[in-house]
Amino acid sequence: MADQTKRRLPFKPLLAVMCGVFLLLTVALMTVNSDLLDVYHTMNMTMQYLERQCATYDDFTCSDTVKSLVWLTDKANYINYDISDKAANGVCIDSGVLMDYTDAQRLTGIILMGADSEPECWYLGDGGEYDMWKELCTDSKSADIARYPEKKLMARIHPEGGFYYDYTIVSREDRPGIMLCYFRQAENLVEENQLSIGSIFSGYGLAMDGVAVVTDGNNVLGSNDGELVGNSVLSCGVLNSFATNGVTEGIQWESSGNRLWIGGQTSTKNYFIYVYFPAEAVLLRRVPVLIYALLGYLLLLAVLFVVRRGGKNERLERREYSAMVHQQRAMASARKSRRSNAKKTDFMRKMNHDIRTPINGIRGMVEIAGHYPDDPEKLREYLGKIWQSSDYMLDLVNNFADIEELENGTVVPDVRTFSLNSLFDEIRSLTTPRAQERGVKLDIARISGRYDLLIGSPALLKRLFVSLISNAVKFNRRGGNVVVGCREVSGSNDRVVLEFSVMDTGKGMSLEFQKHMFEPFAQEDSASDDPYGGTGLGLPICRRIVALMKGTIDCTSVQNEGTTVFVTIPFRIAQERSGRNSGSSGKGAASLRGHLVLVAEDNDLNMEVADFALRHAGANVLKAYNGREAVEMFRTSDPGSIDVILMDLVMPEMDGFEAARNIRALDRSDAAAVPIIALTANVFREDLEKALAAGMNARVTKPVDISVIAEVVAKYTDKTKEETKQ
Amino acid sequence: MTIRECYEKMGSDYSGLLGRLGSEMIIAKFAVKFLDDPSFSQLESAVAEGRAEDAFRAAHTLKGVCLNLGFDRLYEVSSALTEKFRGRQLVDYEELLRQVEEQYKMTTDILKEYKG
Repeated sequence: MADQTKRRLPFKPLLAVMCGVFLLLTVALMTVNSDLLDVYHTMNMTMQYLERQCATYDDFTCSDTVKSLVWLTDKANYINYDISDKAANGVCIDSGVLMDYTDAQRLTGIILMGADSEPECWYLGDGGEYDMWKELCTDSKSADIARYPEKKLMARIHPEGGFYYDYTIVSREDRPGIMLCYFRQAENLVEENQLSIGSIFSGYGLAMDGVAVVTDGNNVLGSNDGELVGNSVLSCGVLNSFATNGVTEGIQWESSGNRLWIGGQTSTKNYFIYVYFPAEAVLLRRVPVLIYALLGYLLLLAVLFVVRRGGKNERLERREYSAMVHQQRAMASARKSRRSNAKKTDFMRKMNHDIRTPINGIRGMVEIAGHYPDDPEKLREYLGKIWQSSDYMLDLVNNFADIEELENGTVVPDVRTFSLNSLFDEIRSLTTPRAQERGVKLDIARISGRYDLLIGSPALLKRLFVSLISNAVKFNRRGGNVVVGCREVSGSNDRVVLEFSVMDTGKGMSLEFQKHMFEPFAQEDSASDDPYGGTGLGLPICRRIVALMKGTIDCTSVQNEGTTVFVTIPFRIAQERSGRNSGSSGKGAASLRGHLVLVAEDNDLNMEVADFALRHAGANVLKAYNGREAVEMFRTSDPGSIDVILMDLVMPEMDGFEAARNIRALDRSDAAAVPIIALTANVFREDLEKALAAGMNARVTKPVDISVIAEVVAKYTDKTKEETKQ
Repeated sequence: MTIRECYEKMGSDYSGLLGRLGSEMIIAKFAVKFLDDPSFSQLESAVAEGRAEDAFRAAHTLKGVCLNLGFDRLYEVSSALTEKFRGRQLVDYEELLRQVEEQYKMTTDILKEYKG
């Protein structure tokens, strides 16, 4: 790559120069071609214009002559008529009469010819001679006019002498013959009155210093270059060159002196027209364009250079950065790998140690037991220790499986509706024996949050709290306490965040250990009275479980005083959701077949709905329409016959709270045990607390949901039966 | 008009109600019975006679019935009125009562239309 770059570098300026030359040549060719087209176009336009102007000039001049001749003929006709009249009246027509006519009609002269083509008389006011007109008066044309009176002849002649002569010849009316009348005008006067051909150039300018010339073949009649007018063509060098080569198609290049000219020529009936331009004026005017093109190109090169240089630097930086990142990643990966290997090694070492220790213990106990085959006390002691060791090994293996499962992400929370109190009842039953065994007092407070039924993962919660409570028991001292509490941190209508606390009075943890307490196999020496201590996997498992439930876990600990672990977990509230929307608890309707349920509800329609729901679930229903009726119906029922009471709270005569208190106060065996469940449209916490204070067990909020009611009733009736059995 | 159309016309969540009670016939049976439910008339008379305790109880009952029968709109306003009366004082309740009356009328009109 580097070699290629080096080979390419010298080529780039050359390429830039070549591109520049090519660009300039292209621009030059294009501009020259454009200029020549421009010249050709201008030249043609000019020549066409001059052709039209020359034709107009000819027409105008001709028209002026014709008008003069017509005017003269009119005079002649009048004089002819008047002479005929005078002759008829006997007046002798002589030169004196003709003089009068010329004076009166502002003519110059009149000649009267006889039938024999001989002059009879004449008057020539300009002092001229008859001989000047003799040829005209005696030629065949005049003879024809004499013979055919309809014919007339009129013309302008320009003989030498500085005058124009307009004349007309008409047939005489007084006798056979002809009459010639003429009018003389000074040459300069005619030409002044006539339009000069040079005037067509008046105000006419040509681009590119062009020159336009009109000649009659010999002399320059008109031109926009005033110096040429009046000169002979031969004396004008450039013009002579064009004239010599004759008319050609397209553009002609002619040189004259040291200059090159571009132009062309054309001709009309009477004129030759030339248009030509100095070559330098045509071609050099595009030099600024070439300069601009060159500057533009240089600017482009500069921009490309800067961009390329910047890009190259950026690429280099990027490459360096990429290499650095790659290197850092590689180093991080290597470090991670080393750490991982170290962790694995450490893990294996700890596993090896932790498994080997109880195995050695078991082997030792078995060996020692072998020495006391006849001593039951010793054997019982050693069997107990073997059991303890195997228990530890089982924990270790289970925890290892748990953490493996959690690490792999194969654990998916089984989200469903559950009763928090029921869950903790279960947890209590699982952990109490171990606590009692270790002489630790376990107190799992009844959860007094707003809601009992929540939506969450009871299986994960059970794993979590069994583990935390087991730890709290394990690392406690004999006679110590473990207290499990719960409080509502925040909540809304359908959500609640609960904070659980597991407090023990154990040895606590050092600050140093607290930094590593969630790392696998992290253990503090002498933390437990257990000969094998913990596996060091409990807290890491707890942290992973809490994370799965989108919660947090933390702790405070003081050595020799104890530890409190705080777990905060968000839940959805089941009753609101199921009641207002789906109506399903997720488990389906529990069966109440065979249960007798007393419903206290003052509204017929609500009673009917509850009755339907309960009968639909298989229950038999007793209906009380106020609190007093409910108390009375329970009091008169056979003890144990009513499995559960659903109590509306707001009722006439006696409300649900009072009715519950009265029932609990009855002197009968099932009065304290019969589950009383508040059935209310309120979701307020104070209602629940008031209901619990009145002796009720739980609350179900309206609307009546078959599955929710059936589930709660089933739960309490089953529990009641179990307690009754005990 | 079907009972579903009836609920949809009221602006109520029929699907939720069906999921809860499980039967269209049962829903229809209970819904029509609402026309004979005395809680609204008890509410009106209690308010008219200034019996705050009875007014609270009637509003509370009406709210419960609406919850059970899925009359969402009427439930919302009757619930608000219940809270207004919870202190057993009949003050500043007029607007809420008017809304309850309005929703009750709309609900019963639709039910009467359904019943034919």
